[in-house]
Amino acid sequence: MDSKANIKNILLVEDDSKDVELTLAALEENHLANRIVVLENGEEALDYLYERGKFEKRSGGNPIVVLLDNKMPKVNGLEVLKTIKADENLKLIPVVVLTSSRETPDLVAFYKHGVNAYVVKPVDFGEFMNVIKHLGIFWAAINEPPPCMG
Amino acid sequence: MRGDEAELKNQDANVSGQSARTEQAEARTEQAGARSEQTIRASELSYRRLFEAAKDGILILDAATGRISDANPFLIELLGFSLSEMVGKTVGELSPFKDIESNKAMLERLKRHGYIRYEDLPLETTDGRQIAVEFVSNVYQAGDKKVIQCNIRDITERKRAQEEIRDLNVTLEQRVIERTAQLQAANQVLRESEERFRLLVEGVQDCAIFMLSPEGHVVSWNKGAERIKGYKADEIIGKHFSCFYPPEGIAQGKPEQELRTAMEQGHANEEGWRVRKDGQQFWANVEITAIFEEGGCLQGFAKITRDLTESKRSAQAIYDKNLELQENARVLARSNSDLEAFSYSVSHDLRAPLRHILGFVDLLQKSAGPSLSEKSLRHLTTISQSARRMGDLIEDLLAFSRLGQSEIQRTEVNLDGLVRETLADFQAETTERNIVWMIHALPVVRADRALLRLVLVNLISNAMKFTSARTEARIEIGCAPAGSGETVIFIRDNGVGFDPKYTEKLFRVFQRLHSQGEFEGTGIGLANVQRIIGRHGGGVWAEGVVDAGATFYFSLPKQNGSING
Repeated sequence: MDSKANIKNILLVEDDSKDVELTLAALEENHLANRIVVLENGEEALDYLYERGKFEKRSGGNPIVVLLDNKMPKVNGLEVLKTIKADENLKLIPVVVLTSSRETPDLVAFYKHGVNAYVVKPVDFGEFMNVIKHLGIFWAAINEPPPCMG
Repeated sequence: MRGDEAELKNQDANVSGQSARTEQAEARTEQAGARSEQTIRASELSYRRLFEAAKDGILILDAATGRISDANPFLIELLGFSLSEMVGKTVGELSPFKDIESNKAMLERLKRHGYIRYEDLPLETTDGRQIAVEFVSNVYQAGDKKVIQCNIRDITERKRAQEEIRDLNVTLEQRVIERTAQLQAANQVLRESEERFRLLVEGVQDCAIFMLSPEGHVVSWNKGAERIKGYKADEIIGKHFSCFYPPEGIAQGKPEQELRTAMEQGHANEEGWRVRKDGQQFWANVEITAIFEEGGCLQGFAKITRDLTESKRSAQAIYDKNLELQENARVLARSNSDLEAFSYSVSHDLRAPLRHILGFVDLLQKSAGPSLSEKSLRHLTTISQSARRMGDLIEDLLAFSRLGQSEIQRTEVNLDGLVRETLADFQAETTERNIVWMIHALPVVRADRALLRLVLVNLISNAMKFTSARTEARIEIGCAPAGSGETVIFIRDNGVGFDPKYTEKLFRVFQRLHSQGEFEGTGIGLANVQRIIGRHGGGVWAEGVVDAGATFYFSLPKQNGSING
C-alpha cells in the first residue's frame, strides 16, 4: 500500500449538492469519504487537473479516478472527458461517468471519447448506495491504477 | 323527218326566176346557134364532165313521161343499177324508190312547184344496203322539152355521224345530269356537315371558338366565347380582338405578336390574363391557328380560348396546401425533436429529485429512526413508495417514447420460435402456478423481432397476471382467420376479463381497468403493444367479458409496409 502522503484522491465532479451529499454518505460507509475531492463543475475539474487558478498550489498528484457527472453548468462532463483523453499527461486517468441518463446518444458519445466506465445512478437509494459503495471499493482498492502518475 | 317535205318559202319565186333565166339562155343559144356550133359542143362537154364527175347522184327524167333519160356514174355506183337498167324507167319502177310516195304524186308536186326536196329519204340499194339520201328535184326547160333533174346525195355517213353525235349528246347530257346530281348530293352532305360543324362549334360552351380576319377582327363567335368573354355575337363581330387583352398586354403589343407568330409558325399558344366584357380578368389558355387558302393566301385565324382560372386557382390551392403540409411536416419534426428533448429531460431531470427524496428519506430513517413514532416511520415509507412508483412511471414513459423513435428492423420472424423463447422467460413465474398452455401452429411474419418479442411479453404477462386468481389458468395463443393481406394472432385467457365498454381505454397510456391493489402495473404495456403494432402497419383490438376472460388480437401486414408513428 502507498504511504499516507501518496494516497491518491478520488475526484467527484458534481454540481448538485444533494447528489454530492448522498454520494458522500454512501462512500462514508467505505471510509473513503475523506479521500474525495468534490468539485462543482467541469471548469473547476479542469483547473484542478491542470493545477491552475485556485488549485495552483494544490498538493498531491493526479486522482486515481474521476467520478464525473455529465449535466453541469459551464463545462459539462463530456467536455471534461474530451479534454482529459486528448491530453498526453491526463489521458491515463480513469474517468467514470456518473449520470442519470441511460439515453443511447449519451452512452455512445462517452464511450467514443474513451470513458472507462458508464454508471447510471439508480433512483432507488438502496441501489444507489450499493452502486457507489462498489465504485469506491473498485477504484480505490481493487483496480490497479496506471503507473507513473503524479 | 322521214317523208317530210321541206319546202322553202320562196320556192316558187326562185323556180320561176330560174326558169326565166333558162329561157333567156335558150334564147341566147338560138341566137348563138349561128355563132358557133363548136362553142356549144364545148359547153356541153363541160357540163357532161361535171355531170360525170359529180359526187352527188344525178338523175335526169323526161318531165313529160316521167321516165329516166340519164343517170350519172356516181348514182349508178350508189344504187347498184347499170345505166341501161335505169333509162326508160320511171323512178317508181326502180326498187329503191318503190317505198316513197307514188311517182305520180311526186310529179304532180314537181309540176305545181317546179321543185321538191326530201331531206332524208331511206333507200335500199340493189345489194341490200340501207342508205339515206337527200333528194332534190327541179324541173326546167332543156331545149324543146322539159326535164326533171334529181340530185341524190348519200347522207348515210352524215346521218350516222349526226346520230352518233346525238347519242353522244344524250350520253353526255345523261352524264351531266348524273354528275350534277352527284355534285348536288355532295354539296348537300358538305352543307349538312358544315352546318353540323357550325352548330357544334357554336354550341361549345367550355371554350371560346371564334374566327378572326387576317387583320384580327372578329368574324365568328360561339356560345363558349359568349360565356367566357361576356360579349354577345352582335356586340363583338367586326371588333378587333385586342379588346380581350388587358392594357399591359396591349402595351406590350401582345395581340399583334401572337398573330405574327401564328402566321409565321402556323400556330401560337399562350397562357395569360385576358379581360372579359365586364372588365374582370381570367386566366386563359389561348391557341391561335392561321388559316391559309389553297394558294397560300392568309384567310384568317381560328382562335380557341379556354378559361383556366379555376384550374389555376386549384393549382394554386394545391401549391398552398403543399406549403402548408411542408410547414406541418416542419412543425411535426420540431415537435418530434421537442419530444425527444422532453424525454431526455425527463430521463435526466426527473430522476435526480426522486433519487434525492428516496436518498434523504433513507438517511432520515437511519439517523432519526429510533426517535420517530411508528406513524412517522410509516409516513416515511409511504414517501419512499410513492417516489419509487413515480420512478417506475418515468421509466415506462421513457421506454414508450423510445418505441416511437427507434428504427423498425424488419426480418422474417418465426412466431413459433419467438413464442417458445418468450415463454421460457416466464418459467420462474409459472412453476408455482397451474397454467394450461395451448399454443397452436404459428406462421412466419415480417417484423422487428425485438419489438415483436416485447409485444408477446406484454400480452403473455397480462394473460398471466389476470388469470392469477384462477385455480387452473388457460392461456391460448394462435392464428385467427384474416384477410389475404395480413396475419392475425390472438392470445386468449380465462382470467378476470374486462367490461367491453372500456375496450377503447385499454390501449391508452397509463389507462388501467384495475386498481393497483387488484393487479399491479403502470398501464403502459398495452400502449406499447399498440405503438409497436401500429409502427408495423397493423392493428390491435380486444374482446372481453367481465370475469370470463379476454382475447387480445394483433394483425401484421404481409407486405412490407413502412408506417411510422
